[in-house]
Amino acid sequence: MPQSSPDPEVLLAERYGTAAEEEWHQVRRMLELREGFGLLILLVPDGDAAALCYGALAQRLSGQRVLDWSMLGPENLYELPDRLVKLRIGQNQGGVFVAGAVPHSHPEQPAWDKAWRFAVARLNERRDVLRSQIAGPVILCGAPWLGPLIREEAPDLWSVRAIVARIANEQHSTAAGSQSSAQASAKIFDELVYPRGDSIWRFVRPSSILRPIAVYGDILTPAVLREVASGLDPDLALIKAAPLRVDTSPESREELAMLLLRAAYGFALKRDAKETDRLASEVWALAHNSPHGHQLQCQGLALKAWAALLKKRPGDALDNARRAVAFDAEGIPANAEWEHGLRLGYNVLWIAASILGRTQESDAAFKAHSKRERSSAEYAKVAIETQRVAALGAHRQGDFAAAVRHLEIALTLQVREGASPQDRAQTLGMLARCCLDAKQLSEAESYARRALLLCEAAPDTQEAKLAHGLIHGLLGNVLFALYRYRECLDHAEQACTLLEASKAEWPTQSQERLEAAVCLLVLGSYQEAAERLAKLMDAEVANDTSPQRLVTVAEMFHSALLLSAPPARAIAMLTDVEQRLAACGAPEELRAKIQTRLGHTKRVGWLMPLLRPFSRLSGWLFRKGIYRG
Amino acid sequence: MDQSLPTSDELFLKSMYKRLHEEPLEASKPEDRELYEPVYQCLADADDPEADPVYHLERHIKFKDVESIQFFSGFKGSGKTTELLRLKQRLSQAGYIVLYANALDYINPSGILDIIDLLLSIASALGDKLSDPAVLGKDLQLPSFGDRMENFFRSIKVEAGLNLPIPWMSLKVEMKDSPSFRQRLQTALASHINVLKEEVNRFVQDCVKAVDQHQQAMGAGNRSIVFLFDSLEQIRGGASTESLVQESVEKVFTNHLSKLKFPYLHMVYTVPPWLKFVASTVGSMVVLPSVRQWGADAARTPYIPGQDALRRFLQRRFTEDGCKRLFGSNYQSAMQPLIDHCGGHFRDLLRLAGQAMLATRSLPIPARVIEHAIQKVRSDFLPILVSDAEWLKRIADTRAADPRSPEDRIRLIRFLDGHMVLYLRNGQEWYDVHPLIREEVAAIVKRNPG
Repeated sequence: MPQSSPDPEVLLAERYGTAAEEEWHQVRRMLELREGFGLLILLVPDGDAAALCYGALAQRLSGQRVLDWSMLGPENLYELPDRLVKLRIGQNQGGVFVAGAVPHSHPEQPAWDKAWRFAVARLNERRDVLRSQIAGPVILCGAPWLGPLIREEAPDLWSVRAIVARIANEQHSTAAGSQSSAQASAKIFDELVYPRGDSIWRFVRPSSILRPIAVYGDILTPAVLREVASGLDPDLALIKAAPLRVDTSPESREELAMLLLRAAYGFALKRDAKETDRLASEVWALAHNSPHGHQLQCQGLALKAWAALLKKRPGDALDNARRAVAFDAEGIPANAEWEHGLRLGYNVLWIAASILGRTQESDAAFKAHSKRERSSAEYAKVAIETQRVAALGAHRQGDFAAAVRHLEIALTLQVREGASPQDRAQTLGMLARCCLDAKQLSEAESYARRALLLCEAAPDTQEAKLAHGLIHGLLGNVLFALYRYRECLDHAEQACTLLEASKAEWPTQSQERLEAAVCLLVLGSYQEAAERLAKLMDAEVANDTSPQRLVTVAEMFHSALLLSAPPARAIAMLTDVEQRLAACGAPEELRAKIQTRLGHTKRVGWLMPLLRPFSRLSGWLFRKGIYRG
Repeated sequence: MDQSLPTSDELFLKSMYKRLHEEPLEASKPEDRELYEPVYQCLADADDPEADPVYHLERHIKFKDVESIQFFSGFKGSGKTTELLRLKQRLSQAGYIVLYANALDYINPSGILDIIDLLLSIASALGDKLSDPAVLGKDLQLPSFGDRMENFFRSIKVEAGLNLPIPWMSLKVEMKDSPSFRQRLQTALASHINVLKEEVNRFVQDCVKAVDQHQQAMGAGNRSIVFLFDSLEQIRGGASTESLVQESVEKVFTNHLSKLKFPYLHMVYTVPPWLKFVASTVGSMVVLPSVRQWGADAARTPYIPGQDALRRFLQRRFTEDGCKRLFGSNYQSAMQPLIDHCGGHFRDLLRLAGQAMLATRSLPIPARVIEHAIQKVRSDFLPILVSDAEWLKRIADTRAADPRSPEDRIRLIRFLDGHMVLYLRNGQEWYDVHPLIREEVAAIVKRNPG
């Protein structure tokens, strides 16, 4: 016995919170109080929310016919005005629900934007016709960006709206309350993944992916599903399939499998995991006795894999996807349907393997998948960012080698797609960072220098200057590790200039300035180092820096002063820092560090002028690589 | 139905919601007369003689014995069509034959407007409306504009691909629905505009003669014809084509103004309000301002007659007893926040009231629900770009619009159309920002200095 479906209005409240429940209450009241034509503009985070709203509306208007005109692709919107003006709906006979809710971060959002503009502009011209022919609710349901779009493109239609209802994720809503759920999700992901402070990783843009994989577990709808299933009505396919179930002839079984597969694709596009899995299993079972068994099995398995991914079971998804793509290895030329199965199979395999951290398998699947997919600028952009996101994730986990692999794939894609020099420089900078952290210094130097060459060709924007500065800083780090201090100093100084010009965050600027001063110390320019560190100390105080940072700079400054100035100056500086630390309630261990230095300096600081020649000698030995302690 | 309200309250609320009725009110219909509040007349009676547009339009027609041309304008939801229908009733009562046509029945609102379209549409509409038995009965023998046009197309050389002459009915449909056909027709007739105008004039005169003969046969005196051609202001294109369409409308009303006058007809065209900014040669143009609720001074001193007029508007709409049940015994002060935030636009006021009705779970509507309704309607205006907020703040501070460039002009037009900027008048014209977004605009500018 089928289970009763949950109440969509209850689900709406559970999923989207009390604010959404209140918005829906007003929609409900509008349906109860109005007579005749009523234009509702419903702004929702995504297609799932739209489907839920349709369910709630249909339930609310039970006994009446609410046409579900959910647009599977933007191309369907171009037909909307003509379809709508041909409608005749009488009083209490229902209404029409037009949905195309695609968040701003969706790669196809520009196409949807264009299609919606066309549709509402045409509807604007026919406002009076609609009002006279449809005596029921007309709901235009889209992502939050649809509201201002209708206001702009269809001002007459907008002016006769009955209500604008906004359904958003309560837990992700900001104080302004105007973000879509997908935008809020992307923002939270950005905050998780986006490194604090200015570093080369800030150029990863996870929100350019629909929903980042491996963090949320939600994935892009594969392009092959859109191609195959747009315009397919799965329910109609099931209706047509029903009489064939009792016919056991081979021809009927073949036809049954074809219809069930069509229905499965339709549900797969709608992201209905349960129905997709059920039907795909049935297709797979029917395939064994079919002359077209291989293509049916391949597609059935790929659809089961997709369903498992939707159910957030990447292990099952991986297994089924492997079995689906195994049909590729048989050397049998694939027809169109088979190709669908393989494309879907590789797509799911790539994602499932990525989620499970099986990087090599994921890379191989991605390559096979890429070969089969048509390349488009948007698709490539998403693929590049996906790799960069994966790299960042690996880097955070300390798997630098994996991060490098992902970044190399991203770079290859960028070169192939003709990405800008700036974008390629950013990826090379990330590679330099990973190699540096993996102690592969010569590779790191090579990547950083390649990145700097590309930075010369980048536009003169603040962002480009920031990237340029960060890469100089990275190269400086590499050269420092290679004991090439003079070169390190050059790059650190260039980094300082560029970071200041690009208004980078203070901690990033401070780090480069400190590095430059350290280089000067190591190179024996103690006085200059002391002067730089004095300015840096003042700047740290002015920027209200952390006590930890203050102590780090103070220690270096102390060393420089001992080598270049009377001990009294070092004592005065340390005393000042000690007082600052006491005033801000710094932890005891930090104060202890300064107190220890202060104590030593007071006791034996008078010896420093005598010991300076020996310090300089040891510095020289250090620079020459003769003695590196 | 959701029964959070008692049944009697639910039925009452439903009846009140029905009275929100945003469509134009026809003064000739008793049910519409019940809802109509003569706001502009009251304001004219109070202290602003310029406030009543119908008075001006009517007076101009009466002063011009033979024929006239006027332009009437206002922003969405300001009551243009309602006032035009009131004009129709008054002139009919004064003995005129008044015809009303919607331009959008003949002209595609998203396409470029051309004088040829307009001439053909006006003549076609004139023939259609005069032929309506409700106007002058069934016995009126009118000439056929379709026949005339078919003959006209035969007499001039047009491109073979246009396949003219085609039956007039087909041509009407093609002109409205086929941009490519319309463009080719415009190109073909571009050098024949004057001849076309002559044909249209002959047609109009033939119509006038037919009407006069009809009136004489009925034993009635000669009656002048007034033709109200509504909704031309809705021809604007989409956001991507609006500047092109606006240019075309401007061109028609400036370069071809003389062609829009017809012999023995009193023409009243509704036009886009921005035309007054660009076409000083348009002549007699009556623009409906927002109902003024405050003065142009820095403190925005409340203008009591305007506030009273809007209060009466709501009272008439919901009736006094209805207001008491909706808003409580002290309904006048309970309704005041809605009036304060409507910007003097009837449609915005009705939307605020409607929103409060949708949200309430009890009667009378609590103050917090009214406040929430204001916030909800406010959110329909958002988001506002920083550059737009800076521009709006300048208007709020100076009470002047002063577009500095064509782009500024387009922006002003869009803001006036969307009610973000209000056009106001008290002897002099001035502008202000809608009260729903004034604070938001100031906050945006403050958050984004420079």
